Amino acid sequence: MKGLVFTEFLEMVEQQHGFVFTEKLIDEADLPSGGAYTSVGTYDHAEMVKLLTLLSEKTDLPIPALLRAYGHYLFRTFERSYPQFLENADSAFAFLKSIDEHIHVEVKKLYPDAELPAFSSKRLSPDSLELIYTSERKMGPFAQGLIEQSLVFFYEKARVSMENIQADGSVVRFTIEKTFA
Amino acid sequence: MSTREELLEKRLQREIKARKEAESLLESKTLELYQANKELLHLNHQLEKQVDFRNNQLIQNELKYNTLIDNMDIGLIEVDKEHRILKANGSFLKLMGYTEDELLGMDARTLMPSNEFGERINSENDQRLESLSNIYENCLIHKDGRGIWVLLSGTPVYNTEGEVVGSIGIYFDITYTKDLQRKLEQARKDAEEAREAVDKCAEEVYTVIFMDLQMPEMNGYEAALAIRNQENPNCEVPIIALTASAIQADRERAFQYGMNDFLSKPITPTQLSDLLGKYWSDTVGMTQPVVEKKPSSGHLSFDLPVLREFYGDDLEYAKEMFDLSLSESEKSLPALERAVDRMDRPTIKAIAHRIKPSVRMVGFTRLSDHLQNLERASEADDGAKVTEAYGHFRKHQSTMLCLVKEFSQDIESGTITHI
Repeated sequence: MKGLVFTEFLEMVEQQHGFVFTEKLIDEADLPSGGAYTSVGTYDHAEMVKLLTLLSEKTDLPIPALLRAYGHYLFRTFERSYPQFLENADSAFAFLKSIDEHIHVEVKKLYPDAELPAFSSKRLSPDSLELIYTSERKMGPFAQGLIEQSLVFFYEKARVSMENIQADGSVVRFTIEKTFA
Repeated sequence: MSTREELLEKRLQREIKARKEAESLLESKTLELYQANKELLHLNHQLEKQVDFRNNQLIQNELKYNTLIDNMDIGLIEVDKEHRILKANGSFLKLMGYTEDELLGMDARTLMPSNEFGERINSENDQRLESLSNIYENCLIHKDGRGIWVLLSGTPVYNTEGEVVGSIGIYFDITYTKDLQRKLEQARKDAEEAREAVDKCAEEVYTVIFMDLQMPEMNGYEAALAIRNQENPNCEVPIIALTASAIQADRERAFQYGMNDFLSKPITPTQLSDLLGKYWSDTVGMTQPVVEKKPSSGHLSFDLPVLREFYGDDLEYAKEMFDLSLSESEKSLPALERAVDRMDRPTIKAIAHRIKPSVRMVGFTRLSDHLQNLERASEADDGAKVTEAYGHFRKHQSTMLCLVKEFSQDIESGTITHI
């Protein structure tokens, strides 16, 4: 898993719970890397699982809720760090379609070792889009958070429903329906 | 329980570790980039070398083909869509008598005579612009005005977008072949005429045979020889050679071929009468009714002394000659005009030669001199002189026809009694 996901995660924890809480979290997680993450590095996914589990215990919040919140947070980081991927899209649907077709292709060129989820998209109607998330990381709620924040970015209102196709969460169907309330 | 200071210390150590890791990652990435760049430079160098090599090859090829095109025996020009000449090889310049500076930028159509051929070129060119290649015979005008026959093959030229931007024409000089063809055709006709004469001799008895030697090759001579050698009722009949030449050698040759006498054109009635007297005594002293005189000094163009020398008081003979001249002129003058239009030199020469005596025997000496000049100019390939001589003749042509017609009618009606 890319280092950026770890560094941004710890950043978010520190923003919400402070320096001491974050240091203790890292210490108690007893990570092989010692938590010395750099955004350009690559680290074991298991470390993220450990951090999430521990955070869930400490905050008494379920892991999916934490992942979804992290999705919201990370999208805002993307807005700041990678605006070029958002400039080319004029709507949330166009952007979501471009993840698989364009953005992940470019990321792969920059980081050949990156393991990225697949996001196949299908336009169901002018106002609804289906996205199939496929990843061994089983981080559907994280994807949900990112999708929701992208709608905010494009000033669009929509309902995002999530449904496991594979029971273990490795394949997830998102249905995004625009609302005009 | 860790103190805040201890936690800070830990954070610092972790950050240092992370920084070092990032640095080593960046370094290896930099190395990768450096290597990739080196490979790209190498590749670029190879490509440049290849491009240079191919360019040199192209230049060499172009030089080779240019030399080939310049030295080949076939004329070649390239024209744009507006028929302007862009390129002409050495052979074409030689063929047409122009320098390269004169020819480049010139409208290729000005090299063609302005008649049906010119129109043909336009249609062929349009066809070529519609991307069709073609081959046809055509006439071109040399810088000095003479006509040149060529076999022309045209091919369209395309730009890189595949659009037709002009055409390339290949010109093969066939003037010599054409001349040869025409001579052969003439020889065939003459041979037929000669054969006809020989055939008639087998059917009918003649008193005297006049043999025109002014046929190319040896047909006049051969016809005489055939009459002498083949079994026919005219074996012993006198044959008199007629020719424009007064050369002793021709005279002797005529005798060698079994002819009895020789007359050089123009022939005067006295000469003819003398000769006929020699072979047919009944003709001697033949008299014609004399008609009353009518002054004809108003007809300024007639060369009266010449007419008098030719016809004396024999108005009937004069009328016959005038009618003959008229029919010959009416038949041949349109053909002459067409031949001059397309600068067909051999035909111009032949017609001028043929009608010259007809014009002379009706007393238009000056006009016949123009025809003589026309004949000479076409023989010398001098286009400008041909145009000039024909122009002089053409100016008086219709007046001449009117006068001849009038003269003949006047004799018939008895208005003219003597010359």
